[in-house]
Amino acid sequence: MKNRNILSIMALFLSFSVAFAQEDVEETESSAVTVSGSVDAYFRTNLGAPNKMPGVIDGTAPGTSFANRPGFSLGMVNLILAKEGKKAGFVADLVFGPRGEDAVFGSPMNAAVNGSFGGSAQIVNQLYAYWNVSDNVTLTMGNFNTFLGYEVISPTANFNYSTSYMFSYGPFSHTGLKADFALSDDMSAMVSIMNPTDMTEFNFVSTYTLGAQFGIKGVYFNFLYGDQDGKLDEDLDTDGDTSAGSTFQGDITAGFDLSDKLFLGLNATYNSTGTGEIVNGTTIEDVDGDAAGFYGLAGYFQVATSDALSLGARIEYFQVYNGGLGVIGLDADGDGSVIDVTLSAQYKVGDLTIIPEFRLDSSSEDSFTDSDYLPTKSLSSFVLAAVYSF
Amino acid sequence: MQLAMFLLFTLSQLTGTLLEYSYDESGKIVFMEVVNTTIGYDTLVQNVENLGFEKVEEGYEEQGFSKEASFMLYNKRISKVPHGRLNYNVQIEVKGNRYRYVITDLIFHEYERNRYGRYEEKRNGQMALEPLLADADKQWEKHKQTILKKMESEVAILKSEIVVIPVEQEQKSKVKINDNW
Repeated sequence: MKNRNILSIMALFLSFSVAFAQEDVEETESSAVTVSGSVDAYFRTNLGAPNKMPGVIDGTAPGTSFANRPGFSLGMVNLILAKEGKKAGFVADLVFGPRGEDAVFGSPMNAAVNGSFGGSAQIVNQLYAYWNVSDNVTLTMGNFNTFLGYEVISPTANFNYSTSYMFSYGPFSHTGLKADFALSDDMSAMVSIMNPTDMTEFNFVSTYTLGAQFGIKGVYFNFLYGDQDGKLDEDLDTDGDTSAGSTFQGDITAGFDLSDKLFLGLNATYNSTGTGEIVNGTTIEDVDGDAAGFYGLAGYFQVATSDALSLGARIEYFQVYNGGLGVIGLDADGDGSVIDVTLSAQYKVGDLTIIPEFRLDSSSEDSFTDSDYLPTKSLSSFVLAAVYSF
Repeated sequence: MQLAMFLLFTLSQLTGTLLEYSYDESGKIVFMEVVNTTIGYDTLVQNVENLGFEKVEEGYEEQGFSKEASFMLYNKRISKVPHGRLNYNVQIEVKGNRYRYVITDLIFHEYERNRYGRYEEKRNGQMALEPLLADADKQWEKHKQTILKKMESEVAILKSEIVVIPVEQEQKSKVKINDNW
């Protein structure tokens, strides 16, 4: 009996020793929360156009998101906390700084309700939890970045530092419930029900937006449909109140490795919002007219000249129709277009990426300001960005 | 009996094989060893099958098995973040009361954060391990040691589980509660 006890103690000790020895080896398993993210800053100047504008604090710049302030400017600190469990996990993606503020521009909703502007709700870029129901099905609920478009909010995942018009005026984020399906190694699908786009904290209009995605061999077909500002209510809304119709956006993104060194990315999008309805006296009527929106096409070409240096170009055509957006000059029919060509280099020094970038925006109507402070159709600019990933 | 088996298992873990990187004639990394056992051919074959290996070579006194396996490699930054997954192939050939394991085809699948902030395999981000170790930077020097330790651990587990003798289920004695206590 005594020997048996000694054996038991020895076995216990040995098993602890094994556990300890394996702990020393275990670089390979992680069930802990990971912390990662990025920090970015940039310098921007117009070429042949003023950086200082009377009455406009940020001068003239392409009407696209981020990287559009003059001089030395700040991007953001992006802090991503994530737990990627086998069955379930979460992502808390927090943003601090101007780029982050622009990314979560729809977020002061909660602060507005509480009267607490500057509150913590305004640093949430993504906040969701997910359940891997099986190897092929994942359910996600919360706030997640959009599945539409080629570019993303994080500067680490984009080749060009400045962003395209299609990215800037497509959705940034959604809040809702989505189901992702891995149909095979090369095929995937996603369906979702969400708040109206960018209404990320809660839904105060009581309409919902449907999303869908189908992916095959790196080509993704994305769809979004829903009323973004709610429906009029005869009991609540008064004479003359209007509401836009439902928004549809269809979008294709694709990426192809043409060789070990050469990459081609493509994005095409079509966005349309119906004319909607109006309260006429005490009745709600449909508004006559054509839908408005935008569409565009962009190609992304990248070549790796060495492990450290890559060169890339983005060429985008963006068209607004029927006054769908007021971000570029429009003609009397509400139509206007812009072509932007952006040449970027990425030079990597460890985890730091340095991005010098030349950009030319050329529009069909006057959209910018020249050196004499007169309206003009084109703008050239230079950006130097530093993006550090951790 | 169970205690003895447990002791044997823990001892075999402690005396696990110390591996080192070796290369075949085509320059591929190979971890290989011939192991003699005291258990019979049929038990060896059964144990290999129980470990999830797929039979790739059928024979009367010789059988071959194969299995794909993988583990994650992490970079240490503020916290450990996934760098990628190392996939490899394990082959086992059983001959009589001995077997040979061959671990090869080590392919590194690099990970990156996707647009939703989650790490996933980078598109076209797979590379053979050999050139990564040949031209190893500081991070890959660490990975080189991690891979070796992980392989040693995997081999130790394989070697201990492949020689397990199935133990018949012991009949649990039934306890009768009565007043005569």
